[in-house]
Amino acid sequence: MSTVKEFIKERQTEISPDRLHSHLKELEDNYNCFRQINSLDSLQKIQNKDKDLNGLPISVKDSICVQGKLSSAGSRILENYTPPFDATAVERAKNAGSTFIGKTNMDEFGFGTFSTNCAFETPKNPWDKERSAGGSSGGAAVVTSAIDYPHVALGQSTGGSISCPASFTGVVGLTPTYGLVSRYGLISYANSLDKIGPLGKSVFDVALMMDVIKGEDYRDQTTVSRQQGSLHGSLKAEVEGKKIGVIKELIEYEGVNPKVRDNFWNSLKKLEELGASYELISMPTLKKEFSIPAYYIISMAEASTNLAKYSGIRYGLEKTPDKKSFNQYFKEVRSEGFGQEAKRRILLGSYTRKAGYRDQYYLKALKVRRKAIEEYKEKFKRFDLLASPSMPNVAPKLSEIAKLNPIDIYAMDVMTVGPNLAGMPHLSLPNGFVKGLPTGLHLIGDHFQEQEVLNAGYALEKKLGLDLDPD
Amino acid sequence: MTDKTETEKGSNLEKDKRELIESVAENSRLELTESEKKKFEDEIFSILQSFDRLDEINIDSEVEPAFHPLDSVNNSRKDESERNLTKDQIFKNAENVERGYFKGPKASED
Repeated sequence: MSTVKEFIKERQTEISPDRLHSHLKELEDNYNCFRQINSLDSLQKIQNKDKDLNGLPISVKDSICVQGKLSSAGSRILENYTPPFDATAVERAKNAGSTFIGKTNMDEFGFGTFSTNCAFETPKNPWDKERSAGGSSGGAAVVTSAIDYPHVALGQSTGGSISCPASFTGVVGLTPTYGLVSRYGLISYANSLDKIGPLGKSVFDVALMMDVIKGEDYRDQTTVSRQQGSLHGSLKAEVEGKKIGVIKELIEYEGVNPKVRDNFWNSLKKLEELGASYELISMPTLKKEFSIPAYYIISMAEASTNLAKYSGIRYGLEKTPDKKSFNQYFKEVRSEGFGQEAKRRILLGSYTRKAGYRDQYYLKALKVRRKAIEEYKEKFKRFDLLASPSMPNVAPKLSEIAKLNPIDIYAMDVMTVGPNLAGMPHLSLPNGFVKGLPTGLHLIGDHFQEQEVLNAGYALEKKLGLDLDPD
Repeated sequence: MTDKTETEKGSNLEKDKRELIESVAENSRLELTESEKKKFEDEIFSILQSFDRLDEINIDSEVEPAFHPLDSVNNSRKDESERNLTKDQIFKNAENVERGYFKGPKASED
């Protein structure tokens, strides 16, 4: 099957809706990756041959609204919700000529690192079905890794939900600068952290989809009007003269698998061979003891306010409201509709915003975030890029995850929460294997420096030349 | 004697934890089962302890909290009406609908 680049440039490949539909069902049977596959009837009706993307198949994370399709954000409380509108990112992808193939499974509202907090199904890793595909965009990464068609997934990251599953499944994930892609139509987790971004089989694929979905949108006041030009059109495999800062607090973190560390240093050596230079640097705020609490306090505080809107009226899970008081009714719906991790985060988020605790937790975390942003900005005066592993380890077994407590699970996000807190663009690029399981390299750029990050990733991708087919 | 005091302290702490969990759950409109209360009261206080590590960072009290990663200005759209959902679209996702209205629980006691 052709690559995305060949598919849109050469325009020779015809996709049979029947065969595509059968293949998607096979993927779902094998890996639990889809919340809903688009119907054969809908696939047959889509005509996109005259548009830029030539009918390129795209999957959409369950938290991103697609008109008339289930959009549950992995939660029982939105089990039957079908939005009457498209998210801006989806609308733009459709207008550019993509073919919507299905909604992908995820942790409930994005609350998870392994996609094990999904109300419907837990996606399985195509490299080893007993292992996690990562979270929370687990289904998106599985489809990207296992599909036999040219395809790009729309995922979403709040604290690492693109990089983590990309790393665990051997695909490329781009988390853009906060505000570069509209959040209109994204079912919120934490407003000041949520970003929609693409996952693809190659750096070109994610650059292409970013060009389609980015840009100002009057329906999301936090989008930025900044002009960037064509990221995929300007893609150059060049890192000559680039300075890369290696974040000491992350590469020396005691939880990093030594073989993941070996792959990391091997990647840095390759970048050096290509003309880049690197240096170990210190960013104390990114130590696990600080970055993890800062991220979780802010994200839980925002999540607990976002989830307050689910009240069993107008949409989502409803019960019989007769003869019940407001509070009784809300409690009944919310207690049944939310899963355990959502309840945990609502409780913690409400607690840290509570009078008497707000300064101690919430405001303190926001000040730590300011310090982290300043640290990044200071480093970007001297360096073009920063680097770390994408995840401290390879994908764990689902049976091992079941034994972990929440603190252990939250600690797994140590590599990813920093750039998410600061809103910096970052790319997770497959950079090797440990015992047959893929590992990822994080390349982080300053705000709006997506091109810098993509070019370095493009150069290293070519140099490494990895076979990333899980079969 | 010491043991008894420690036990009393322990049981007071458990009581405080339980009351706090119940009050936050009430504020959040969540009805927790007994097993959920037990699980959350253990977990949540351990998680809060891990959050307390932030106290080790020396932060100037003058530092501005970063509510957003970028100091961008919110751009409001023009104050003009635009495309709207139809009535059918608005009610499509609701189960409890009566005579063209959403039906909810009673707003006041009889």
